[in-house]
Amino acid sequence: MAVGSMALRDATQSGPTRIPLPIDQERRARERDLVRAAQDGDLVAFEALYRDNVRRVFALCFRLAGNPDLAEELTQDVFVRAWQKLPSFRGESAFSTWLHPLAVNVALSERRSRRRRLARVMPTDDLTLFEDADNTPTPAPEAGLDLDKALALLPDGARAVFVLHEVEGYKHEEIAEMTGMAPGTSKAQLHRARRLLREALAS
Amino acid sequence: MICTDARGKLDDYEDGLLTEAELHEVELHLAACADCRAEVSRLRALIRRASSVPREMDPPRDLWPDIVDRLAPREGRPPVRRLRRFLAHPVALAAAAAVFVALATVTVRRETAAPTPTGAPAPIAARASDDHVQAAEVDYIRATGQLMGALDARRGSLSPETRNAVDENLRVIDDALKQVRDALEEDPGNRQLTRMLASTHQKKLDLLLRLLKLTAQI
Repeated sequence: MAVGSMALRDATQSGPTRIPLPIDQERRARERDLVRAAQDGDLVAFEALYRDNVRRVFALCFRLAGNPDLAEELTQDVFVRAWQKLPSFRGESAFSTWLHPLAVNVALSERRSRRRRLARVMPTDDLTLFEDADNTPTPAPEAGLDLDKALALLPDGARAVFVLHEVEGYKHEEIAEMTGMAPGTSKAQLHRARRLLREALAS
Repeated sequence: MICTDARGKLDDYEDGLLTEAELHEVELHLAACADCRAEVSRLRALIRRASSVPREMDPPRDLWPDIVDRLAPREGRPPVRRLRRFLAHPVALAAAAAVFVALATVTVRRETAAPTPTGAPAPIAARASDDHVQAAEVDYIRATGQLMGALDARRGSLSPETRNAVDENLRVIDDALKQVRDALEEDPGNRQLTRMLASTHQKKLDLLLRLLKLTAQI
């Protein structure tokens, strides 16, 4: 029996089959070409990858940072890091799938190094006076408060866990690995974030 | 089961993490308690809302020029991003504070082209061609001079560790200011650098305010 007719028989007799749509295949092929070119140093190709992915990366950085200026900085950092690590991308997943945990890592690293800088220069005094005023500890109830605005008001740890768990879909074990906190702490931070957000969003 | 106990388990209830016995207890309580049922509804609404937020957002501006500048800096131009990274250190320390005359003056004078004040001390950025920057520097020097005087008056009451930390904070931000001024000298009229200078002035003023507040409590 010819291969073509076997394939047709399978398609008709085995029910719905996962056949990649032509548009997905085309998109993946284009992305593969861009990545290869960028890996060879082609900035124009890397810009195309940037344009395809910046909105997703910025949304993630914006929610993790809680601050639009910092989100811009982090987004830039993500793509600079991606460029540096591009040789290690093997193409086993989509570029966006590879980029996403890298973006999370960049955003969380910035938070960790900011805390270390604070601790280093003010070892004996109350650090809370020097914390970024955009991250005030307790959101006040405000009618019709947008979720993103409420997220920005959360303490850093609670916001990071909420974004990673509820928005991005990571499990506590994965969050623990990314953030360096214990899974139990991740869970506690999530519960705290949910409680604070419910209070802030109550109208 | 009382409400406090039930509320403590609502997150695990929603996440499917309760044991059979706990689940049974919580469901019995919810059947009888309208307040806790309302709390569950609010929790579910929040989780639904979070899972349906847009996963993509447009940045306020095109970030590619700054990115490519870091990947392949243009010759003869200071890499602006390196300054921002440097300035991220004092950003971590300074906080939003009351608006000072110096910062307001930078904004107003840039818009109204006011003349440089006479009789003022020689501005640090005297070589910058922008008169507005020089005028803002004069006001900044006056404002920081007053705050530094107040801070110096309290030095005696600070521990050596705190004095060193204060000096380190001020040194970092003064280094950042010098970098911005040097860059502005090479690229006078650069709006981004001018904004950065104004912003760094504010950060130093904010930092001095915070240090004064802190030292007043010691």
